[in-house]
Amino acid sequence: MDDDAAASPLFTYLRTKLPDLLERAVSEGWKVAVPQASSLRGAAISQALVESHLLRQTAIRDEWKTANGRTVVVVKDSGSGSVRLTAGRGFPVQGNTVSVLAEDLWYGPSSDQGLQLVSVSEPLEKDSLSTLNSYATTVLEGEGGLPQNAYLRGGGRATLPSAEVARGDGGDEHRWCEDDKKCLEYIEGIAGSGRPLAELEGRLVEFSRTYIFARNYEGETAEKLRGFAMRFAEETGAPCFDSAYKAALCHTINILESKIWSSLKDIYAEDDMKARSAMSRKLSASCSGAGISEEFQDVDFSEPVSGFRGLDETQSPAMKLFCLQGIQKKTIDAIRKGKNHKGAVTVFGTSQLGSGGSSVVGTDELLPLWIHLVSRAGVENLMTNFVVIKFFSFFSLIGGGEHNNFLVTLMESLVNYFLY
Amino acid sequence: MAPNPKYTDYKVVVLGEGRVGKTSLILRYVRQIFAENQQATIQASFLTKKLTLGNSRVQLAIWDTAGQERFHALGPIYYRDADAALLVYDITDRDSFNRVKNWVKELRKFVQKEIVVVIAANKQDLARNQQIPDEESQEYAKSIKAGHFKTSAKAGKGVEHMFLHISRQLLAQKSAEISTAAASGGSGPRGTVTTGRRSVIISDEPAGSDAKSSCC
Repeated sequence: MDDDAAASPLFTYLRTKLPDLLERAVSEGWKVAVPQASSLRGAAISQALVESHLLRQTAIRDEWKTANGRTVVVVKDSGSGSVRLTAGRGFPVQGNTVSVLAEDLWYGPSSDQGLQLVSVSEPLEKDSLSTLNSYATTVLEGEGGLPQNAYLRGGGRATLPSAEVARGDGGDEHRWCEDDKKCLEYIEGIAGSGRPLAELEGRLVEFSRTYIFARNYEGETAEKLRGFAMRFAEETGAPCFDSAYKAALCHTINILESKIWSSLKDIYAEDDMKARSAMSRKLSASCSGAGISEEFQDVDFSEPVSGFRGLDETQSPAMKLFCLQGIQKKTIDAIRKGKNHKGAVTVFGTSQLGSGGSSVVGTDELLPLWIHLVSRAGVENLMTNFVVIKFFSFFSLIGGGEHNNFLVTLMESLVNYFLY
Repeated sequence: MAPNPKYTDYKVVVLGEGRVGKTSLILRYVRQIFAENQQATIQASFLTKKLTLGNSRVQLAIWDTAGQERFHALGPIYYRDADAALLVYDITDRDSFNRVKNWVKELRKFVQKEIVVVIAANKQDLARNQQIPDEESQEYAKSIKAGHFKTSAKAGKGVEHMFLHISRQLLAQKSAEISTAAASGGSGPRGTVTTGRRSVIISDEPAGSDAKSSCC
């Protein structure tokens, strides 16, 4: 997803060619619906198109008017929480619906008044692609210049790596961590990977036979494994160095996951046992012993609970992290399902769920809830799982970035809560 | 998503007692337009916001924290590598203001680097029940060289301006570090090349020494 609204052709056109309109939009608090760059590939940008994407609120809830007087309606899906814009009166094609992807803020030089940029999946005007104007094409040609120049052994042009991999969006890393065969397929597709791969695997065998894990030295161990992957990528001289490095790192962890898991489980056995005892005490104290909100007590949390149990069922550090991502989603889904029959709630209102709770799940709610769910799941190896994820999932390299960092920190707070 | 090299990433941790409106402030800022009357349950423990400030691009990773007293000891896990701390209190609750003072002491004690500190006097929509006079909180913010903002997550008042101030302070701090590093022949802040995430020069100086004293 190209979500850089501030650099998009439509907004660039507004900023550079229509400064008066931009000034008006800022001063009057309008919003700009910015179609993602790929949806405008080959499209013409004109003043009319820009005006059709400048939105000002009307007195009618969820109805907006464009700068050229057309109507746009905001449609919110109460189930998924997604938001869409629908082109209404005045548009050549009415009923065209686009998804809202993100909301960014843009500030001009030395201005305190921001302009809200709303990234949308496609232009609101269906026929915009046929308008004549060459402005956008030149801008877009240089964007998303994705490295499609990886060469297969034997000189053929490879289709790998995909755009997502090259950008580190995480889709392929997921597949590589789940199935080492796919990871190897990718690595073997990199030109000149034969000898470096054999050497990498030699190092891994040596490591597996001789290396001894030690408490509080996991960071150094992880660094050593990173070094193996880095060396592989350097030796292949792959055009997409980053992807080769990531694939080699995934392969490294796939090969060693069993050793990592069993070694750390031994090291942290006592902590895991202590955490399990704390979980049992928490459960037996009272059903709301962890301090979860009353409104959560009749929600069916069986899905996230089994998610927590799933942490013990895989040895792969990355899959454990993906499991954590899934648990967060399942937790929110469970609350959403539990709330549906109780009526609507507002975000900034009095936070009422039927007769008592917020629809916003912040950390005030999430942390005690996860403490409760972990206790119910009786996670066998909480501390080991945390250490494995923190040091060996290489979460900054795989999809999710800072969000993964947040999840790992949340898990660290669970560990601290139960152990200290 | 991997760090976007076009943006500089900053971690902003939001601290404050339970029910002071931390999560609502985050949500009001990040999902400003379309969240009102939102019918679905929203996850708001961690959200990101991108800003373009002139020629600079900033991505704020905004971390919500659990404010309940029983989770107090977990605070350092969240703020230890933060670039900015937003301390929130409820103007109708004196205890929540006192907790802000405790957070400040803790940040000074445990965070071994300069971070931007900002205080949000939240729930301005309930001003008729205000317990902490503006002068008192502004004076306190001035004494610790922190920014001070009067906000209402419910009414949307002061929220965007406050985060704009935080972003500008972060950029100013980064620019000062680059100048310092250049003057001393260094190579600039660590981490910017490989991750896009800025690291801060470790200093024993009080946090937020360059912050404006008050912005209200």
